[in-house]
Amino acid sequence: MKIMYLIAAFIFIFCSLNVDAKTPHEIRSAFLYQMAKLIDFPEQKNKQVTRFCFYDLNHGPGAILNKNNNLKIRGKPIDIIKVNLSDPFRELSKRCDITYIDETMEDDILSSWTDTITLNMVTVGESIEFLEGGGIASLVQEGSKIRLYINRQEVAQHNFKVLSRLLAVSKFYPD
Amino acid sequence: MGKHATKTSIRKVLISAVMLVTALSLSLSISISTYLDVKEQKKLIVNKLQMIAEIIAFNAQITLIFDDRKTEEKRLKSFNKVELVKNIHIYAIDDVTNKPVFFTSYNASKTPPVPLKVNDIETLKEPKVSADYVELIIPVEYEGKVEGYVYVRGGLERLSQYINQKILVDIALTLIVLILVLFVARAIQKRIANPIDSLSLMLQDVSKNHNYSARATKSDIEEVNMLANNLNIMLARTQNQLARHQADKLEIKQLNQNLEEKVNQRTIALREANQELLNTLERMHQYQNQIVENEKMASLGQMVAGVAHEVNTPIGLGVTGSTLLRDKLADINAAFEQKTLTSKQLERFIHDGIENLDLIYRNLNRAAELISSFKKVAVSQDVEVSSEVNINKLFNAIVSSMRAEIDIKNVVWDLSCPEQLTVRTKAGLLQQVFEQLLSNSLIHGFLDLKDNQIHIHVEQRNQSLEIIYQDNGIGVSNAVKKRIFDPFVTTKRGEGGSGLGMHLVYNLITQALGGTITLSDDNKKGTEFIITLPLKGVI
Repeated sequence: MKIMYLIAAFIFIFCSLNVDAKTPHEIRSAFLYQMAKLIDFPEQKNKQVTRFCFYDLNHGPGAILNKNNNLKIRGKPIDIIKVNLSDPFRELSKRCDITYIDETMEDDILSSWTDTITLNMVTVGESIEFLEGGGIASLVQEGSKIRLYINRQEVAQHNFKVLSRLLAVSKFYPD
Repeated sequence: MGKHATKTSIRKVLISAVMLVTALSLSLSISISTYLDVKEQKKLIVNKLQMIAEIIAFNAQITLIFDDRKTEEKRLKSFNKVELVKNIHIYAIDDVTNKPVFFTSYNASKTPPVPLKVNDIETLKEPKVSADYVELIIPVEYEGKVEGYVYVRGGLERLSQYINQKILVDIALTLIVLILVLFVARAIQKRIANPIDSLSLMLQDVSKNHNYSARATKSDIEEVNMLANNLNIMLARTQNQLARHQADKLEIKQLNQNLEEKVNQRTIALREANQELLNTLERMHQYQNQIVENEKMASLGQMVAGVAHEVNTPIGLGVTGSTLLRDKLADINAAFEQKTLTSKQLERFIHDGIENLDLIYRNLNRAAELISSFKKVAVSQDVEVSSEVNINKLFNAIVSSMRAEIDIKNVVWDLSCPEQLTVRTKAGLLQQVFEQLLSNSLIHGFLDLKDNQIHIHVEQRNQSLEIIYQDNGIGVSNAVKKRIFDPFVTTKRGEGGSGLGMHLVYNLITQALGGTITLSDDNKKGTEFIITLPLKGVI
C-alpha cells in the first residue's frame, strides 16, 4: 500500500513539474519584482516609488512588468521606465532603482557603465558574464530553471542592502 | 449466645484502611497528574510542531517565490537534528491550475516517506493527533498571498517514552510511599492498639474471674483514656450494684422464707377450714335429706289429713245414719217384742229408715267417688300409648262432649290451631287435661252467664307444642296461685270440690306427657295456663 502511495506521489510530482508553462521572461519579470521587495535601497523609507528601468518595453521582462504596472512593493507603486542606450549612465542611475539589461545588450553596456554607475542602482543581467563585468545580479537560465546569481563583492560595495532571505535563495558569483 | 469467629482485628483493619486509602489516593492523583501531564505534553508537542511549521513556512516564502528547491531541501535537511520532525512536505501553488503541487520534502532517517497530502490540506489545518504521530499543514503566505503549504509530521515516540518513564517513576514512588505509609501505620496502630489490648485483657479478667475491683490504666490517647475512665466508672457502679444485689438477694431469701412459713400456716388454716366446710356440707346434705323426708312426711300427713278430712264427713254421716237407723231399729224391735208396735210407729220407722239409708248411701257414694278421685291422682304412664293425633279435631271433640255445660254458662270459645297440625301424643291424657281445665273455667271461673270466653291457642315450636289456655273468668287469687297445683286446694270446699283437679292436671302433664304447665302471672283478667309438650320422646 505504501509503495502505491509513493508511486502516485512521484507521478504527481513529475506531472506537476511538466505543467510549468511560464516563459523565461515571465519568470525573470517575476523575479525582478520579488527581488525589489528584498532589497533595501538608500532612504527606502522616503521612497515613493520603486523604479524599474528597461531598454525594451516591447519585449522581455520589461514588457511583462509594464503590463502589470499596478503592482506594489511595500505598499508603494512601481514605475516602469524605458531607457535608451544613448542616455548617460549617471542620469540613468538617478532615474532607476533596478535596471534590467538583457543578454544581447550586455556587451555594449557593461564596458561603458561599470565605472561610472552610481552605488545606489541595482543592475540585473541574464548571464554570469554580466556579473564578471561588474553587474550586481543576474537571472541565469539553467536548463528549465532561472537561477538568481548575485555578485557578493559588488553588493558589498554598493549602498543598497540585499536582505538575507534573498541571499538565501541566491547563488553567489564568484563563490 | 453463640461464639462469633474472629475475622479481623483493629490492627489489620487500620493498616489495610490506611494502605488502601493511600494506594487509592496515590493511584488517583498519579492517574490524574499523568493524564494532565500527557495532555500537556501532547499540547506542547503540537505547539512545538506548529512553531517548526511556522519557521519552515516563513523560510519557504522566498524559496517558493524563487522556485528554489535546492535551497529549501538544504534547509529542510537541517531538521535531522530535530527528532520530533519525521516528515516535511512543501507544496507550491501552481500558477496554471492554482492548486497545490509538490515542491520539496524531507524524511527523517529511518522514516519512510508519506504520501502527498495535497487533498488533506483543509483537514490537516487543525493538528491531527494519532497514536504515534502528529500531523498538521499550515499555509505559506507572503504579503497576504498563499504561496504554498507546509506539511509537517511529528513522531510521538518521545511522548511514549516519557509516559513509560513516568509510569515507572510513579510506580516506584507509589511503592516507596506505601512502604513508608506501612511503617507509619504500624507505628500508629501500635500506639493505638496497645492500650486497647490492655483494656481488652483487663475486661477478659473481669469477665472470667468476675474481678470487678480491677481498674483500667490510663493511656496517652485521649479517646482510649476516655474509654478507660468510663469503663472504670462502669466497673465501680457494677461493683456497687453487685454488692446491693447481694444484699437484696439475702433480703429476698429471708422474705421468701418468711413468706413460705406464712403460706404453710395459711395452707394449714385453709385445709382446716376446708375440712370444716366439707363437714358442714355433709351436715347440710344430711339436713337436706332430713328436710326432704320431713317434707315427704308432712306432705304425706297433709295428704292423709286431706283424705281423712274429705272422707271423714260422708263416713261420719254414714256412721251417724246407720247408728240412728240401728237405734230406730232397736226401738221398733222392742215395740214388736212387747207387742206395742203400732202401724203409725212402723210407718214412721220405715220413713226414717228410708231417709237414713238414703243418707248413708249418698255419703258412702260420695266416699267412693273421693276414693276414685284419689286413684286417678296416681297416674300410670303405662295406661296409654302414644298415637298420631290431630289437635284441631281433638279439641273440637272435647268441646262437643262438654257442649251442654258450655251452653249452660253461655261460653264463647275460640280455638286457634293449624287445621292439619298432627302430633304424636297420648290423646286420652290430653283430653283429660283439657276437660279438667274447661270444667274449672265453667265451675270456678264463670260466676254469671254474661260474656264468658275461652280461647285456646296451639302452636308448634321446633320440637315442642305450646298450648295457651285462657279464660276471662274471675281468675285465681294470689293465695291460691302459689298452691294451685298442690292436692286438695279448692275454693269450693263443701260444695263438691275435692281440690285434686289441678293436681291431677299437673301430674298428667309433667309425668305422663313429659311437659310443663305454668300459671301465667301476666294475665290481669281471667286465667291463663301455658302448657308445653315435647314432640320427641312421647311415644
